[in-house]
Amino acid sequence: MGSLLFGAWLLSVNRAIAKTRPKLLYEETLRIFVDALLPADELTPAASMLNVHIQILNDATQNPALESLIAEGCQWLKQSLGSLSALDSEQLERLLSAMSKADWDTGPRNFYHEIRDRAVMYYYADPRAWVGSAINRPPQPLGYPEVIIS
Amino acid sequence: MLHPDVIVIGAGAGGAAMAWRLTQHKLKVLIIEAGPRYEPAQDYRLHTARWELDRFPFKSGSQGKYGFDVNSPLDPQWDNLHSWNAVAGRLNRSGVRIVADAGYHHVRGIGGSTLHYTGESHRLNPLAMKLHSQFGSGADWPLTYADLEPYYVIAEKLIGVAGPIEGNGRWRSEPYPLPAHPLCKASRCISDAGRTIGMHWQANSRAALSQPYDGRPSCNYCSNCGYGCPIGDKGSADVTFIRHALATGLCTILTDTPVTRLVSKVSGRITGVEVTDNKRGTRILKAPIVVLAGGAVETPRLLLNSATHTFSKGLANSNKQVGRNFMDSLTWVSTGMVDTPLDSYKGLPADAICWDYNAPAAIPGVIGGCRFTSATLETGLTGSVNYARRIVPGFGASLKQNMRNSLRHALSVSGFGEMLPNEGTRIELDPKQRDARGLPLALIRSRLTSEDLQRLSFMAEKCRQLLKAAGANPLVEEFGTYDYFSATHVFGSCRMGANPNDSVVNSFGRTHDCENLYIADASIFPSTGGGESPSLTIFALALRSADHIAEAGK
Repeated sequence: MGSLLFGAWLLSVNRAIAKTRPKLLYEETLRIFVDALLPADELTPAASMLNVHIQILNDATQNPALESLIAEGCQWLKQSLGSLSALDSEQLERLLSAMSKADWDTGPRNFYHEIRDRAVMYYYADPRAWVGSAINRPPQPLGYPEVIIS
Repeated sequence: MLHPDVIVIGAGAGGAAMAWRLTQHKLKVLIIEAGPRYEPAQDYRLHTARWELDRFPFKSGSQGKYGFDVNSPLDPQWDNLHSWNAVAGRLNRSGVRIVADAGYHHVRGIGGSTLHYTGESHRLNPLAMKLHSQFGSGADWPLTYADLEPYYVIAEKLIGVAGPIEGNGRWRSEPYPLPAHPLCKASRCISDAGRTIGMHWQANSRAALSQPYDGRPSCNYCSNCGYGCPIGDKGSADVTFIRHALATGLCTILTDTPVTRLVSKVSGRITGVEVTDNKRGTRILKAPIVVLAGGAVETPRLLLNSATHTFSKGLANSNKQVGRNFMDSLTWVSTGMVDTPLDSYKGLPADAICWDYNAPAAIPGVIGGCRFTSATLETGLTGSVNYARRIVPGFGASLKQNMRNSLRHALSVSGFGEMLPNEGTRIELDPKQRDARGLPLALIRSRLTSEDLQRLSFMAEKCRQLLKAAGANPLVEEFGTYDYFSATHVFGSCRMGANPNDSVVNSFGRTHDCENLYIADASIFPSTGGGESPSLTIFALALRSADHIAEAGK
């Protein structure tokens, strides 16, 4: 999973097919991807439990560029690696690590960055992700009056 | 209101202060506002889980559209001024300066951009008002600090400014109406670190109540003034000047009503204000005096869009000065991580400030000053979302653990600097883009000079030095206006001056060409100051102009 694989991004994807795929076909790939980005741990759930992947797909319905990126990215992952569900956690980690270090002008890096950005945004906007964190409530209505006393 | 004495166009800082002061003189005022009314307790989102996503809630009609010409090539000489963060690396990889988000950050509505301002309440450094005569750069103000001082006092009392006893180079005839806010833990860290490198930090003067005042509660330090204050302690124009103006019964406001043209006679006298709204269509409203307070972008746009056969270059523009001398924002912010938990997501934004380099000759080798501010909260590092999107990289279990370990540890310092006028920075009518009513949009042209970049470089280095002294390592984010056009404070496009040949208005904001047309916003500033936030000076100038209008009408 290195630069050779990323070089195949545009060539390997059948864009015509990618653009016509309904979002349900990508839901499973995106679910595994966001769970690899934000897995469950002893305190907080995995991203998909908070419907992070669904929220991203909803964004795509209003955003043609995102819709195209998701379609091409999921298609590329499937063609390159088969179903993500067949990968174990170490393989998924190696995949994400390689994508996160690829050149910015490659599809995999753009896919990784865009999906990560939206995933962390929706994940950490859910109170269920705040368990164990210093910031565990909205700033109002209580504010932080203790800050001037401490 | 059938027969107002004065029509005020725009309900932001200048329009609100103007309207209130005119009502104190028993004049009837009609405010025409393009944007909506905000209901703080309902509209602002800080009590919800998605507050970081909603940020400031822009309602329909609360933002204008603009054209931009800012794409100058980036010079490798200034590579250390690129914006970057730990998650995405370099943010602008295009090789040219680009527009950040909306570019011109503003709000249309009752209260204008004070609805999303932090509420820093600064008096201008008197030395910054004599730039040309003392330093040969920029322009002089046609009035003195002493002329403005009584109006600063009135404005500070109206909005309830909390400030320090300690001075900062601006003499005062009265103390601040409220005591300064104590510094939060993160700002005490900045202040202590500053001392080790010879910087003096003090409490900032803030339009946020340190005690209950004027029927409003004291601040509860929720950290997010920029997303709209739901409890009303922030001294935005809607809960201060506008509230009191309406209470007189002499002020009426039309919201969601864009002004499309000023109607004038051959003499230049304004005979009407053309407005268009969805309910009543196009009509002309009339008053003996018209005050334009649309800000340094929309004010020149309306003047230029009001051209007639007689005034073919636009109103108040016989000397072709409308739109020139525009100045935008020169800003920098650096963020690092400290080992000690500082609870830096809590407190009052920009509660600490350093004025050491604010005077026009304070930065070595270049004219024009700057100031530094504690900035962790202003830069939005007040919740998990922004930490994860910007400064905590990676993925998987380590990302989640690093998030928990990081949340109290970010520390940011920002610099705001002087910007001097240059030929390439101005407001024009966009030849290509029009609004829904067919009127040309404002085209914002912005260029940075080598002097601006020297100033910006000084600001960046000082921020880095300070964070290093504070033990903030590593740096995780830097953002500046070298590679992004990102303007919150805009000035100068209808400059105030004593000479009608090189300015648009006189010292009272009255246009040289149109005897009954005044301007009351930051477009009349001859200079930006050395990083001072402009709202208090906008208030003070508008109050002074209102007194002049009332006196002239007797």
